[in-house]
Amino acid sequence: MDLIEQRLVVKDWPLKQPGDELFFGYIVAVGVFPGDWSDDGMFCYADFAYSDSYTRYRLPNDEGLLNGLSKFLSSNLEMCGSGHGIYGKVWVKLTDQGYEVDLP
Amino acid sequence: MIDPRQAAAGVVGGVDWQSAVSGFCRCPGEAMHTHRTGKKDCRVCVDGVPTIYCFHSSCAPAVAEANKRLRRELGSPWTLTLPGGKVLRAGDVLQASGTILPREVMLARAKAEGRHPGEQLVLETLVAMAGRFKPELFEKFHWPFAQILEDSPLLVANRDPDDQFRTWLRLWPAHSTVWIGDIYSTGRREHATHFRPLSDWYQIGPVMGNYTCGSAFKPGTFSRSNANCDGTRFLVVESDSLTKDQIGAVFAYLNHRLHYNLHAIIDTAGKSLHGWFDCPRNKVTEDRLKAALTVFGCDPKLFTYSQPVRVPGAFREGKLQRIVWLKS
Repeated sequence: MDLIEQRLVVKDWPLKQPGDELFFGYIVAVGVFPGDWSDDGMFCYADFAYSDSYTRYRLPNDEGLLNGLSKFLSSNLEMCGSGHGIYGKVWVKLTDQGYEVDLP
Repeated sequence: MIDPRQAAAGVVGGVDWQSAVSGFCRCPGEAMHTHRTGKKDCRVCVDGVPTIYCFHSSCAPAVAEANKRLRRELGSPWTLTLPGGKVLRAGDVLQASGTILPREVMLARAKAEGRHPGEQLVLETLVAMAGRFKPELFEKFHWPFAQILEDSPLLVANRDPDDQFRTWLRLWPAHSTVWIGDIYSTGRREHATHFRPLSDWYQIGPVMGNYTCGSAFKPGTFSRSNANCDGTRFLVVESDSLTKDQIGAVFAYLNHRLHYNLHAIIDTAGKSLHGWFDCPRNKVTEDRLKAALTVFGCDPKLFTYSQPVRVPGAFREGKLQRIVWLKS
């Protein structure tokens, strides 16, 4: 079994205002974290892997962002499932119109 | 017990120590340099595999000889107390984070990965050293995007899409079967149409998708997987964290210092440039290059030879994916 030796820290979503953008890496998971099982404690997250790092971000409540990330996650699942390497590594940009998720 | 820093100074002369284990020194083969020598061109490191490394290549024989002497001098056990009190032993590697990678951990990694312990030590040393000389590398081999365009031996950047595509096809050996498509154009029998000989692609043009591979495939293939590559391949170097003005330094270093033949540079119509190089000669060289390129900010997945990359001549959201530098 391959292990990534890293504590999984949930980071806050780094894009705060229009114009902010960041390369995140390969999108490898989108999910819901149950937290302490209270309504307030649950949150959506996305996991990204790149080189030897694996990072989890708490996602803002934004349908466009979730859809954009999910699209590339689905493509990675499909590629991985058919015996191909994943390709969906993403940049995310926050614009006045909302989030843009794209390949480099 | 010997002092490794004194022993290193005994081989290379005075050392301008930048850290407890690494510093700039005069190149033992400086007289052979064919280009101007800078103060930061040569480094000596005493941890891991003790190494003298110079950015010039004309001095290689003298540097190799000095490296033999350095390793002989540091061949017996030694310890070095670092600022803060940690103790580094011969064969340990001081990592960029300041933590010590003990030789026992390297032995365990070597065993886990089925690699010779000596080669594992070389790889870990390489990673540490690449991190140390990265700032100088980006300074010395600086090759910004505008300069890349200007330096191209053949003027290609403004050619039309068809011409771009056909120019790129000429990089391949004539017998090659090349994949062109979109990410999903693979895996089912109907995708065989995306795997074609060059002669077909010359006729069809850049209309079957935005992607290709740095590898050619076996005839009759319909799946873009490593197992179906035919062995003809390029190493396509890219980075997601370096800008178009920064990645040129990595291309120049590979081409001029490590002598990897650069064939073309392709603008992806996005944020990156792709450098098309001859691939490493063997697995050992490939692993070493992978370790260093990852430190420089390149995606280690570029060594998956069936990985899709952008094909020149195709449009990406209205922008042309194009060759911006081409070897004559």
